[in-house]
Amino acid sequence: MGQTLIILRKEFKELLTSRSTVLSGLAMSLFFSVMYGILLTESSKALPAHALDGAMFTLSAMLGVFMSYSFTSQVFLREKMTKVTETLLCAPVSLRQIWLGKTLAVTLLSYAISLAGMGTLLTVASARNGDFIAPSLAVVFHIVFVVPAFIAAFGGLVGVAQMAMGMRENQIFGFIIFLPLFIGLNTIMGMSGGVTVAWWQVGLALGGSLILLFIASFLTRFLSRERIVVTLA
Amino acid sequence: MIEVKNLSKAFKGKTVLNNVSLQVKEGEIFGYLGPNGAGKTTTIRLILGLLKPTSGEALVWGKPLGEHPELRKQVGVVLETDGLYERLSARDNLDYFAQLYGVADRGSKIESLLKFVGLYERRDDKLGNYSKGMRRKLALARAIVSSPKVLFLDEPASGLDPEAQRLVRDLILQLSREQGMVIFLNSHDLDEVERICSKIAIIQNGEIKAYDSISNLRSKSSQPVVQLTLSGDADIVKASQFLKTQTYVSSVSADNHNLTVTLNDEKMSSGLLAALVRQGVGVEEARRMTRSLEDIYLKIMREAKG
Repeated sequence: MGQTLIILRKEFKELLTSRSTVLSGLAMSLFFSVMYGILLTESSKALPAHALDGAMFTLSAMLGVFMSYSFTSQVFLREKMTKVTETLLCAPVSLRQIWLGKTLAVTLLSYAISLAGMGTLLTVASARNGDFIAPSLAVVFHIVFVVPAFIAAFGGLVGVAQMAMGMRENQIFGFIIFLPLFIGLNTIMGMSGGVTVAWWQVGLALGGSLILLFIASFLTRFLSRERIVVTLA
Repeated sequence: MIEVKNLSKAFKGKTVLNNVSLQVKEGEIFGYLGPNGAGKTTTIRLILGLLKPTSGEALVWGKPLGEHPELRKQVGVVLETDGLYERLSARDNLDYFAQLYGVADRGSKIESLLKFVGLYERRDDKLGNYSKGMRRKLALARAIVSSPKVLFLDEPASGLDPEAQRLVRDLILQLSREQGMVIFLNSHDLDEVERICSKIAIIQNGEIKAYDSISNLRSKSSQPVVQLTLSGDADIVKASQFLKTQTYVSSVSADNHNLTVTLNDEKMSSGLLAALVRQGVGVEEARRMTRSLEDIYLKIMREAKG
């Protein structure tokens, strides 16, 4: 765990030094949260709690995943492009420790930005509603446990792929992922306000996230130093 | 210490390294020479465990590095790229690798290393503000932050100005002499290799063409040459006529008061002078000509090309 924590700390620090990436991520998160909050409270009627639940359920995960996508290219891909990876692979550290440290760093920052977005959404919706709206326990559970697991699973999968693939494949892969993510983020703005969040949905999301996380972790077994080195820029 | 046995590597059926064998022993600075694409970097990558051999083996302390992370703690590397993070400061870069290698008392070690490579004043600057020479020096500091016993250097002075090249060369020599570090140096800078390496291997098209100490390669690859400065024209004529009749002399050529004599036998270079004096030739100066590593390298390359 020691090596993983060292990598996590370094990646987190390096991500924070990339101010433009972090600030644009934060700005995007706040923009969507404010817009969402305004859309939800457009009608003059009091905002039903389930509408906010639906919004928080989907937006928290989508924002986290979107941030994760942006940060994985900073953490995994950039290192390959600059070929620093080759030097790192000579250090007394395993591929799994490298992957885990980087995935955790991406998850931590993405989750923090997603939480900032949820705080903003709650504040805007409550302020426009004229009264504080508390999210349901299921949604709180979802945000506290499911969202970080989902972000970690997504970031982990993308990270494995970026470590294993060449630069051209990574470009195509990035485009393939980005498009549905962007469309998804826009689409849920119009529909998720009407979703009622139940515990079974949260449980299903948690199960799905954990399975994806397991798959990502399992896939690291197929990574090799040679595979990474021969796919450097 | 470093043992490469019948090492071969092929990518998609194309052989890039063919049956390479070499050994680097304790205390040696080993120079690995060859043109671009000859297989130098592939050899280093195989020894470091970054690539898996198609056949043969590359061992350090009798074990493959790729499978033994604890051994990698004893090995420092400077590869073709500096292996440093642009967005971190020099100190943070060193600190990161020092932590990964489990270096005790990191703070003072990093401080002394930054002073050693002359970057202490710029320690908190991000690498984006560093020149190429400064980065290379920092890469060297990064490689030795864990006080490794073996150091792999892939073109450490490439692209540096002469002053920085000299500094890197001095650092390598200092590490070898003071810390007994084994150094495996990949280079096409023949001058650099000649100045610091005790043993070399020359590789071309994935095959070792020469492997020995520089002095042995000199004597193997060339006939001994002696240049004589004689007193006058008469001495030139006299010496030329005499030497052409001697069986140990391969060729004689005259240029002003100088006579260049190529010998068949290394041992006869001292006897040559005595023989000329006995013949009454006025010899003002005699110099044993040594071939530079460049001459040897180019000769081997030409022979390899056929």
